[in-house]
Amino acid sequence: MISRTDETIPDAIRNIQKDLTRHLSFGHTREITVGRDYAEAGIGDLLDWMDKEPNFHISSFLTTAHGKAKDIAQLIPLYEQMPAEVLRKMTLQHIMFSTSVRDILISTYSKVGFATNYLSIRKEAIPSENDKQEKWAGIQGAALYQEDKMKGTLNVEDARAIAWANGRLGKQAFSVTWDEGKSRASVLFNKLKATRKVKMTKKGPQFMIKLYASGNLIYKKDTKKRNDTELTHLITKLLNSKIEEDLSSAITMTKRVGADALKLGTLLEWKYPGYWKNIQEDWSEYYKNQSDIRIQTKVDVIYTTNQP
Amino acid sequence: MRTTSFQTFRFASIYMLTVPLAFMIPPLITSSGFQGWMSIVLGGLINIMLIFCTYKLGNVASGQSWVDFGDKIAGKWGHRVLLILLVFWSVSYVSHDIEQFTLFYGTVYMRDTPPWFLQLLIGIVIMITARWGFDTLVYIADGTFIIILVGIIFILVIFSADADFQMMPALITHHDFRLAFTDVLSVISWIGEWFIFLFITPQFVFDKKTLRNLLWSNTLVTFACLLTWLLVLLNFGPHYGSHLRYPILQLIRGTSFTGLIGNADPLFIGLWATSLIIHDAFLIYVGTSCLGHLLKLKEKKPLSILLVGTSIVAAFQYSQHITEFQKNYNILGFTLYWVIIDCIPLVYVLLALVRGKFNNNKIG
Repeated sequence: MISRTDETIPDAIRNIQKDLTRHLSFGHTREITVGRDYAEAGIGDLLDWMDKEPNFHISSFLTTAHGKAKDIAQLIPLYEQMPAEVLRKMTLQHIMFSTSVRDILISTYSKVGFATNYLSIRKEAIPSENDKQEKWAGIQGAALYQEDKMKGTLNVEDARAIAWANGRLGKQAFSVTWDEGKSRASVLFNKLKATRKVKMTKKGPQFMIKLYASGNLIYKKDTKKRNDTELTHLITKLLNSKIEEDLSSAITMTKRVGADALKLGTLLEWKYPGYWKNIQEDWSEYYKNQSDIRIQTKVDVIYTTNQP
Repeated sequence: MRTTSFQTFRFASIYMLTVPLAFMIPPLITSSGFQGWMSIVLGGLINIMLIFCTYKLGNVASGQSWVDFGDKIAGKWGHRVLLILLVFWSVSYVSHDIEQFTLFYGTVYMRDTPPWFLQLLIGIVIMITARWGFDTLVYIADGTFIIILVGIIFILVIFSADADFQMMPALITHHDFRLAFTDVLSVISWIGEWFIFLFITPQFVFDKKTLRNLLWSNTLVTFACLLTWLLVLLNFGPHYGSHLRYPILQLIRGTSFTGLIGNADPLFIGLWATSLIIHDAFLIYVGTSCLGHLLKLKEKKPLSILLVGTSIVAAFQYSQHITEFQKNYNILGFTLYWVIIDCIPLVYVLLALVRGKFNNNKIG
């Protein structure tokens, strides 16, 4: 791993290149990680450089690191050949966000926000390396950006809800508990969809986010031994309220930091361009204080049973 | 040469599709954003009128080549002025094409290669293709038509994978008609050169079938441009989309890193370059026909070297002053020049009506 510092990105690259025996080509880049401090200061320079570099594939993924990006790059690649492969394949699983540079560029130019995976590194005892303490990278939530500056973070539950609302979440299992935590069940959702709509009301625009999912029940432990149909109803109801709560708390957090991670501004621009023209300069403030966002969830739990 | 009327359709489509698909869309998104579709549709409708005028003129000429016949409508000197104008226009168009291609290819793939080398290469290819004659051009277009069409459909399908269809209502909610109308001029300057098919006259007869083929070709071109514009807009949005110089390239590359399609951009560029060569070679053919008639030469082939050479030198000069070139490309005067040339059939039809040339069908 080579590291150089300079005033601008091309200058830093030039410094790296002068100590190398081969010519750097950015056509091979698949994954970009930015450190927290840099993200909070604004990644505009990086976006500009990526935009102008002709060989760079804008379908590369971008993630944010909890501390310094350097630390993430030191992770031990157990199942892949190189750390970059690990990061890229992690993103391709769609377990959380799979934000590409293209998404970010579109969001930044449209003056809304976006969210990326928030990586952290910790030491773990790895059995295959004789229980040596090695660095393991993992996703600990989401980093929220408005335009090009990082504004805040979300924990894993909330991050998952936002990823779902963005429309690209892959297969996930969700669990619920009831009877004061004595009974629990898990459902594996294999189809997760979301729609976002905006409607103009007298008080201003009202955003409606609907989440859909359908999946199979994969685990249940019921202390009261209810019958299957009653159980399915109960689980569905509990899941609906849990997901709604998660998304609601996530949205509250995005509002608090003023980051329009769900790109609701573009919905306004498409449907009510006159209104958007008036508020687009202060969209971040508007989103923070005045936006009215409603949530609706609808999940389908499939549990085939022989009981009548 | 054995000709079928469907060949006209194929040739016309290949000729007209190349340049607009590649270069018309980003400036259109920049200037009119969500309303570009109105400009494209209006442009397509105006084209119908231009095609009708072209047909009328070609019909009246029946059997004779246009360069010989035109002076019966516009008078000896009127026609000559027009032919001179066409010679300049065709050289200028080819030089622009060469420069645009060099800019595109050079900045993306071959940054270290000096531009004059690319320009020379393209110029030589155009010259050789033009020297082969009109028949060969039509045959080349015939052969590549299906492949190019499949390539375009393929690209459109790839685009729709990631397109955000929720953006569609924005096409109707934005109502700034002024923008749409100013852009109609720009669209016509890109897809309006239907008068050029007057030059197919000795080999192709202008009858009702030719008219139908040209109209169908116009429909295909307008439709393809509309769809491509729409999908670029839906994929990138108006703000980032207006910023990208070559959106189609980004889309092809964005599909997958290691897969066949993601790395197949050279293949698509090769296909597109073939149709660009056909386009430019035909323009040179038009130029040499006009120049040959003006200078009363029998042997027109050597003129192609002269014309292509001029184009290459002009392209080279553009590349020495790239910022000026890019600035001048979009200004109103430039667009108007193109539109005026495109309206030539209109002028001729008016002259013919005034002089009563449409009364007899057989003009000796």
